[in-house]
Amino acid sequence: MINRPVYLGISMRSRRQRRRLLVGYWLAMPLLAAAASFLYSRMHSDVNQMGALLAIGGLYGTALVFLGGAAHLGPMPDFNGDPAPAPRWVPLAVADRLLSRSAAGTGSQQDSAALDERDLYLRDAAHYTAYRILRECLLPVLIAAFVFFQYIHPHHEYVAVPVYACLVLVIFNLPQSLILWHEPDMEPLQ
Amino acid sequence: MRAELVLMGRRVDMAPRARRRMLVALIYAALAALTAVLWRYTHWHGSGIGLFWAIMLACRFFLGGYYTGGLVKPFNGKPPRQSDAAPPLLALKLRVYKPVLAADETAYRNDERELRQRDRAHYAAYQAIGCCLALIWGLAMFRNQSPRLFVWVAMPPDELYCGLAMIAMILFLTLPQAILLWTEPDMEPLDFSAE
Repeated sequence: MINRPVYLGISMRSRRQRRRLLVGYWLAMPLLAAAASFLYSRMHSDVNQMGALLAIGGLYGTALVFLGGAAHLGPMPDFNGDPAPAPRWVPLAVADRLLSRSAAGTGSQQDSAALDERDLYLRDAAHYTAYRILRECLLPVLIAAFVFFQYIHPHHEYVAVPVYACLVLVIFNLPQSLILWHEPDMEPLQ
Repeated sequence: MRAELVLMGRRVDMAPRARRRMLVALIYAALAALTAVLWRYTHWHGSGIGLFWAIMLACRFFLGGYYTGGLVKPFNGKPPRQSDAAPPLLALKLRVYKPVLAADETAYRNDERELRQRDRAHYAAYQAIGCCLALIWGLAMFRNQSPRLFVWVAMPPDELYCGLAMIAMILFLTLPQAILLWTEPDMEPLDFSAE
């Protein structure tokens, strides 16, 4: 499933290395959410609104595509199974082209093909597992949200954006994380 | 997937795809109506839990998937827990109780094809839920940025976000089963004359 064993200079061949990367990534998520919330809260005051909006968009855009599965970036191919067109996301696409290697060792993902049968199986199974995890978390989250909005912070308006942003990040990155976590060590390049 | 539903003591043949699609449409229409009623009377303040239990009942009695009841087989493929306790009162009153026996493996065990369909349905549902939440996120951001553009929406932002979250919850809890029921082709008709 991992079609870029080297992504942005980081080796994805070893499962241990991938797991370390994932732990760092998920630890960085709360920091990212806090930074985005801070920038967002400043939007109506002294910080330049457009600058804050671009910073938030850049942070979230990078985080969303970092693990792959979308926009033909990241260590995994696009989950839709389409062959990759020319990279469009700048500057991540430029760095990706310079620092990444495809499974064939020929550069970035330009030559990747559509997903094969095993990839499709892995993709669907990872989404099923992610769905189950989210479903198990739903009731505690609902109760926490009810308590929070009913008794602590009755106005949804000011927390809706960061909460939904975190949800989107978690939802779009959980299946990729599961795949990266469970894929065994890859064979070294020829 | 099961081809029959027991409702009010009657066995309903759900083998034709048209009937299953009708059932899915009716369930979503009922949930939409309930959401509208909740907004009319409570403005969705503290009423999300009622909707949650309504979805749970729909899943347990009609959709299945995460429960042993309903049309879709349990996704986890585990045999049902055998208990000597009496069946739930609601199930008895609605006469929908139809035990799945642990010995009847075909009633709960998914074969290879069904597992693939289950995973594919979850993939499709996952994409839809993700896009739905991304849309809500974008809307919330846009509304906070330009509130004047939303003056025509006749509800405060709190209620709007709460309602959208409830719609996302409905989809999240029911979409994989609904996709399976909607896409499965006609099954072999049941023979009711044997009983």
